[in-house]
Amino acid sequence: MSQLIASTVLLAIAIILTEVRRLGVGWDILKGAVRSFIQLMAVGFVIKFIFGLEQVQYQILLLLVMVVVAAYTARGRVKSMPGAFRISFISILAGASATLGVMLALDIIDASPNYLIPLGGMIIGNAMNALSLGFERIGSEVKQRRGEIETALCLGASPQKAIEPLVRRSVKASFIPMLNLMKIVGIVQMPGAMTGMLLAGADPLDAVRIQLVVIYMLVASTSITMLMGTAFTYRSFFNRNWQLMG
Amino acid sequence: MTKGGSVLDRQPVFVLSQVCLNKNGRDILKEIDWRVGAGKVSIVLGPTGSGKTSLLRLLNRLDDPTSGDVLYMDRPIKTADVRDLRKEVGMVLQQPFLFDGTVLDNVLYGARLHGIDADVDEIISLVGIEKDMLPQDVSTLSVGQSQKVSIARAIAVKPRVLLLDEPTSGLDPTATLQIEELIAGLVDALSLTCVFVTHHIEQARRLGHRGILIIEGTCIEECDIQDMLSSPADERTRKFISGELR
Repeated sequence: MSQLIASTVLLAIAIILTEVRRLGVGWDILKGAVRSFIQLMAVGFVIKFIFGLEQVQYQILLLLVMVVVAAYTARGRVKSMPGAFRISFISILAGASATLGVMLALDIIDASPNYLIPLGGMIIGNAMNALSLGFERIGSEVKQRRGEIETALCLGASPQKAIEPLVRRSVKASFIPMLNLMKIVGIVQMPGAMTGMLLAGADPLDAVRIQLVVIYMLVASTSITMLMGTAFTYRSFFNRNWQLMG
Repeated sequence: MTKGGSVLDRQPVFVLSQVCLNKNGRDILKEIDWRVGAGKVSIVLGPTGSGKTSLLRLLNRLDDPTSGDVLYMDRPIKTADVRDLRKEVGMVLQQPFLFDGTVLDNVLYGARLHGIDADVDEIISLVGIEKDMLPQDVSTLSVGQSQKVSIARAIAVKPRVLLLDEPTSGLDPTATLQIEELIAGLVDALSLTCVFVTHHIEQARRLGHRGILIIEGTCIEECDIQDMLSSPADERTRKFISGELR
């Protein structure tokens, strides 16, 4: 509590200084600070409640809710694409359950809410971001490259074959944030899990080990999600007569 | 060039009856009746935006009509397998879209899809592509060369019918004449039926045997193209020829 009070005093000094210098941001900082306090306290209580749910079915239910919200959000990027929510839901669910399943089966993590909920959230969030990027890219590629797709169709290519180069480009684009993260991790940016463990006094090598697990797991789940997503996505741009719709 | 008046004596390749096409609430084609005879060049003539391309797209099922019937070789086109239909009815789009890779990759794209053992030497000699161009990356080609490659790619599939959507648009007069000569030569050499979309009256006169004039989605005349252009039966045809409708 004393740490919180000390940091609040520092914050108050910062606000007073900005007001004295008439920078005009003091009120915004105060509002932001109060807002952060309320939000984080609320989240803290929610997490405390969740961590208290020892029964695994409640954890699964919560993870499912996360998948639904993530699928709904990813679908928001391509509202015009038929079946976008269904595709997102199945893809994110597949990516998350496969990765978490393997980690549980190999005893890398325990089936406790302390592991399942934060890791599940990370996996689902990353898969959602990758899928959103992929959807957005594929939607704009199809719009811009109708001629290329229809040329392939005219030559007798199936929709899957006709759209293949575009899908490849879109998947590649959706992996960029993940690939960038792997390039700079530990050099430019200390990732969240590792930072948290180091702050909590964990052995640095232990923190690195867990961070590596997290990164590899995120890459695996994103890959599975994208593979599933793109496998279904191409169909939504064509009808059964191999005609490009829209 | 020979002018045919006996095309309709042969079995028609396509028969369109009362074909209408509506897109986004707009009537693109209105009650089109048309017979495309086998062999020779049939012209689809009309001002820009009159529905010529939309009509062409119905012939290899890039689109389906909203109402009316399209017969291909005496059978409803809807009953044909789309892949087989597009193998028999090739189409070259207005803009020559080439796939990433070499000229050879592009020439053989459709043939590989259908498992056809295409004679590359014969195809390129018919189309007038130099052999040393085959390993060239398509990004280095001019528009005229690209159009030749896209025509070569279409005939490599050994189609019965070739649909050409303003293939000389964007070409200079010399390249335009080269493509016209190439098409006339292909029709004779391969016994192709060719449907050629253009809004250039002189091009229609140089290339065509029979033709259909479309204005605002309506068929104005359908007859021998030389007769149509020399003695128009309809006032709108006369206006189109005189340049009042462009």
